[in-house]
Amino acid sequence: MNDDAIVLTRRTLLRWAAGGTFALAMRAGLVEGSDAADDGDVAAALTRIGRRYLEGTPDERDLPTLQRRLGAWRTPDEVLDNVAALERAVRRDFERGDILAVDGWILSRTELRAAALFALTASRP
Amino acid sequence: MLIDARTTESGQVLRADVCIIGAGAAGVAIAKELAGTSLDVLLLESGGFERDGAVGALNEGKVTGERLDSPLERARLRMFGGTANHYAGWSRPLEALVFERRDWVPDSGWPLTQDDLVPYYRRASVALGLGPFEYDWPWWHRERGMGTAVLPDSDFATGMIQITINHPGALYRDALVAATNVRLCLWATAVELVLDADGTRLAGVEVATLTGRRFRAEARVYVLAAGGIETPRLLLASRRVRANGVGNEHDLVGRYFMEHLNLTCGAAVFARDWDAFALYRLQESAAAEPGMAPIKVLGYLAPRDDLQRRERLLAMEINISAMPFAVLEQLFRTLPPTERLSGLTIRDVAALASLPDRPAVAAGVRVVAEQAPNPLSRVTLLTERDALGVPRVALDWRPQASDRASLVRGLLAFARTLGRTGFGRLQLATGEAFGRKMLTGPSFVVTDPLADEFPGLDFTVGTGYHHMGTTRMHPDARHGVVDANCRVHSVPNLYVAGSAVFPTGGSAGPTFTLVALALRLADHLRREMTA
Repeated sequence: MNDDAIVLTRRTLLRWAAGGTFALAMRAGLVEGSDAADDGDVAAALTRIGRRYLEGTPDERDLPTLQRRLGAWRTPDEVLDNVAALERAVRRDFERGDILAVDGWILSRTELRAAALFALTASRP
Repeated sequence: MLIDARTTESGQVLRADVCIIGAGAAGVAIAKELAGTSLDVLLLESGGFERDGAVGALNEGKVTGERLDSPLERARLRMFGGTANHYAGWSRPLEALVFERRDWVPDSGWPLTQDDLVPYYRRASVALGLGPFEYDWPWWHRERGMGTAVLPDSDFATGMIQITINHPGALYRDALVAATNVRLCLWATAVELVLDADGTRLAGVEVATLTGRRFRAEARVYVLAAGGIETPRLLLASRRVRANGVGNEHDLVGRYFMEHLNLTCGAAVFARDWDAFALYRLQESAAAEPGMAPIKVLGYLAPRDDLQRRERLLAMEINISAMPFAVLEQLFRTLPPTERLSGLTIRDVAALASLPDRPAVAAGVRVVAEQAPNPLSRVTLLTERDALGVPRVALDWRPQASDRASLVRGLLAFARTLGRTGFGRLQLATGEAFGRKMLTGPSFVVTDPLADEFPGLDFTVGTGYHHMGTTRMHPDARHGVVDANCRVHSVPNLYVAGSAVFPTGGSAGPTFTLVALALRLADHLRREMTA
């Protein structure tokens, strides 16, 4: 797995947080007024999801392959430049049943690939 | 009037117009309805007003099929109020679709519709100390200021559950004891149903006590209301005239045993704020009748009829317990290590699923699902006998792979609805939590695409002390033990009351429906016997 290609920056995190489906919401704090997540938690979460996905789909551990399958997006920043399109793609996945179970969580293939992109390009867990 | 059978003289005959065997929710409801009429009613109860270990041991038997979560002697209660003393009070009518013949559910279809039962559901609401007969959420929103439903235009509809703390036995104990035409005979265990010589009518009931007394009850009409296991047991054990037992000409007594599949399926993340789930949290409301304890009300989700038809689903009820992440995580942290979930956490998925300008809510998700009728799922007799000489039961409970597949298809449809609407994400977890088996099976990280169901999924579930189907109702004697009036086809003066007559079980707890059916039977008896 290539962890060094793109460094996870605060700017990237904030852009994810401002986006649609892929918002970096550690929202317990908003519910209870405490326990808000920090950037490190968010990075860890996305990286874990991406890595769990890649454990089960080893052929996508290769960044060019993953990028090709994701189609429109090659980096997290590209994803975040068009979050609305990503959200539409995710909903379409659920509509047609292109879904996977990761540790029992039923997730869209597109969102998992995007998380995998994050994992492959993040420099730290 | 109250009789203690332990001091009753052996050899005597107690005569009545109606003899009811079993003072559980159904038997008590019928006796209460007949109190004050011209009919002389004898209500036989195996136990007393409190639990008794020796009497409870009469329930001991062997489970040979799928495991129930508690032994038979604990799953059933021999005492006034019966197994309904386990009743947690959760009440709603059986789903309208469950009464229909569903071509994807073998042996489905009642000879009644939900509409036929509505007048009796209304009366059962009063009998059980429930609120008004309203189970659509807009009524509770409009009249009682409760919240609104989530996923309003989706394949999943919101319904309401009412919860009463009033147990049927406790509600009517004093009234039955005071009734001049009702004799409540405690500590009196029916050990045999005795047919007349040609086997066409019931001539009497042999009754025994653990103190060694034996006597007989004779009546014009008998109502067997001993629960979904003891009812077939007594029918099968009564072989003096007919070798296969009473009402068992077509080898149906004891078959089609059903329970509810009850499990915590995992967690969910919803991209909504806390207030969106107010309708799904327990809220107190006034009972319908003055003097009754307040009830509690909460919403649940269920697949709409068209989704059930399209996906060939059995009925299911989805309860969501929305809670702050920290609370849910703390709950999971308290689990023994062997029951803890591993892998992705709720917070991980929240990062993926929640929307930027909204808070996210974590939830535990619990499901109660229907088991399809299965003739191989059955109660039979062992050669071993209890302290009163009655053969003990063997319960071969057999939920089928298709039941599990339906449950998983339904949950996947729910997961897809959550994803498609941007509402959230659902977990179908492996493992066990809170004393309930969750979906278990081969541990996986990523499966193949999930077309219809998890490949190879095999899981065990909890149950609800909901014993149904063993003397099922059908207009044709070749397919059912009792007719639409709950009368045993081959024995016209014998009726069955209780969930044993349910041809299908839906996903609602059975007590409300079995009390409604009991009230309907009481009306039938009153009409027939006082005409």
